[in-house]
Amino acid sequence: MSAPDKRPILKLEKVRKVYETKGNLFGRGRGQVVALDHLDLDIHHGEIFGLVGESGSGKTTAGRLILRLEEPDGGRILLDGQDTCTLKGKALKAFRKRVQMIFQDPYQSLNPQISILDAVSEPLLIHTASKRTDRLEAARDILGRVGLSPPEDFLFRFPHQLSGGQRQRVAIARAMILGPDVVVADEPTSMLDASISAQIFNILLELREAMNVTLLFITHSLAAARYLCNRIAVLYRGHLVELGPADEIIYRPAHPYTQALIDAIPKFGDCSDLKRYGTLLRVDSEGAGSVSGCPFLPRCAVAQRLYCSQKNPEIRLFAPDHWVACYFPDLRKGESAAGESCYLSP
Amino acid sequence: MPLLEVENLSIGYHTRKGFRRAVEKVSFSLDAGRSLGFVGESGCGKTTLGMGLLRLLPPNALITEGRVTFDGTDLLDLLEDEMRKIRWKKISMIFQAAMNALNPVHRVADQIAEAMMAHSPGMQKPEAAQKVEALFQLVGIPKNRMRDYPHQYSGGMKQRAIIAMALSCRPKLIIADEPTTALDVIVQDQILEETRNLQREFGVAIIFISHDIAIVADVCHDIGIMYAGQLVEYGPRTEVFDHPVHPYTQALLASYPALTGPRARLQPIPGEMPNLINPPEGCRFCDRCPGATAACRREAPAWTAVGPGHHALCAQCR
Repeated sequence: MSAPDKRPILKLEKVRKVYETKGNLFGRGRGQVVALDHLDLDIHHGEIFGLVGESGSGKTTAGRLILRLEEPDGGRILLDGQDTCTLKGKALKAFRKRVQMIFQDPYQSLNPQISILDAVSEPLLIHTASKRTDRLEAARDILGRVGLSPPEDFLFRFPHQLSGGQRQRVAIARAMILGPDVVVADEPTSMLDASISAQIFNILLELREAMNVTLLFITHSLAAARYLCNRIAVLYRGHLVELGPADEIIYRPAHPYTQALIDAIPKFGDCSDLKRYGTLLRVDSEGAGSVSGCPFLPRCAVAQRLYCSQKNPEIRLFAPDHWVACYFPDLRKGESAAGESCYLSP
Repeated sequence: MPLLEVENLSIGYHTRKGFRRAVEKVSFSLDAGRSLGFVGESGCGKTTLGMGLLRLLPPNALITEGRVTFDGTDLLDLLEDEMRKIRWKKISMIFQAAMNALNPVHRVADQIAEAMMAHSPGMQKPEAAQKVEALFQLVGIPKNRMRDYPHQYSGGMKQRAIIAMALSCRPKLIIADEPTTALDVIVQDQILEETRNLQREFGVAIIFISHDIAIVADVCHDIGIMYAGQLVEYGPRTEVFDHPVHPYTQALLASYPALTGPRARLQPIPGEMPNLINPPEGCRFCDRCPGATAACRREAPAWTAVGPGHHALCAQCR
């Protein structure tokens, strides 16, 4: 899937992650939850890659696996061709320096007892044996870049003295201070207001330009993903169902699940060029819980039952750079929403 | 006569740092069967407003002035006992954290039946159970889940159960405070669809409180934009969203990523909301407003009519 000019920096090969549920006191009800099932992804140098899906789709798990906060149960994760799952000791520490994370909730990801200066410069203390003055200088620089200026006003404050948006900027500064190659941002704006989210998005865009970092942006919002991302991957129950350039996914979604997602987004503003697909069943069909079939089958309105329940469809090229895991991609062409008011009259 | 008429409602909180004016001089009216959406960012007073209408505010809150006329009676004059009869029976509420609004140790259906029996003396259990069954059908919860406990429900189902509960006494007005915030888009879409259906079928009036413009645009006839405790723009949905006049409304719209159309750079709103313990004398948005003048800082703006039923609290937007 990689064109010659698009070198993958991060490669996920058949990554699988299974969580065991404990069950009750007597061991009954024990089971397995497959968070990710044979996920294949290539993330290119310097791009912003969006991972979209509803809760439970495995998007956060994918982020955590990439950071090696957790180990996959199968498959490999390659950073610049090197398997990250086997790293140990010094190599692992060097890897951690290259891959950083921005967490969802800035109210919980910052230690309330540590000043902003210490929080932001801590990665330097761990990874580079720099002098105190150098650390202060670096912290000042990065705080200025994330829009906390003048930095002197913020260095000696504590998290409780900052607003949510400012805290999230501190979290970004902390992730960026080492000049990482890859940053995973897990729903960085879901706790913030729209006007603050816009600030965070723009900071991420600017930092990507300035520091040439590759961003994996995990979100449930297709609109946010479209604004930030070059490419978008849609996950459903641990399976990659569609992957392509951002606008291609919004305007020409081919997988029934992506189409259902686009149907479900409250339409706002100019949406005359969007279509309605109607690919989601109102009530899940029964008896389709087979392990082998397509994971979306119980909710899919366009499925051909005999065919789709046999085998999970593999991801295939549908259009240039546009990959879909469906036997009948784009069966529903969609009715144009043109002329229909975007403010659906109640 | 409108179903609900709110005039100059002001609510504040006593805090250690002083009296915080969370809602100031908010006026609006709502006809039966219509829906009104309040949009604003966190801290703008939209939840306080919703809670204030039902008089469910915490002890440190104080309603300093205003009138809330519902169906001809002023709710603020009622005794607590009389107010209790109105709550749920005539006005019900869908709370922000609806996930946690159900009691975990009782069956979902029993909780709804209990609410109904408490408000209609003489109603017996079998009758209540029958009504719950009808309600569940209405909001799309399968009948065989009636004897389940809340933890056996998914987030969307809990939300539906809460909507069923809010409808149980056939209220005339429902106040929904961020009813879909924690839900996925597909579930959210189903809940919004449900809300629209209910309105069409029963003619309930709905006050919809949300930080998400798109959701409010989807459900509501009229829109009120709130900023720093004040209502700053108010009017029919198409008017407010197609011809926003208040600079805050315009800024809010420019900071919202669109799903389609050209990928314009988002414009965040610079600065922060003013402190409501000592709010500025003039316009509360003037520090962040691109078109603010010296007069804006000096004196508080007055309401200006800018279109059919469309008003804005801004001195510049004539």
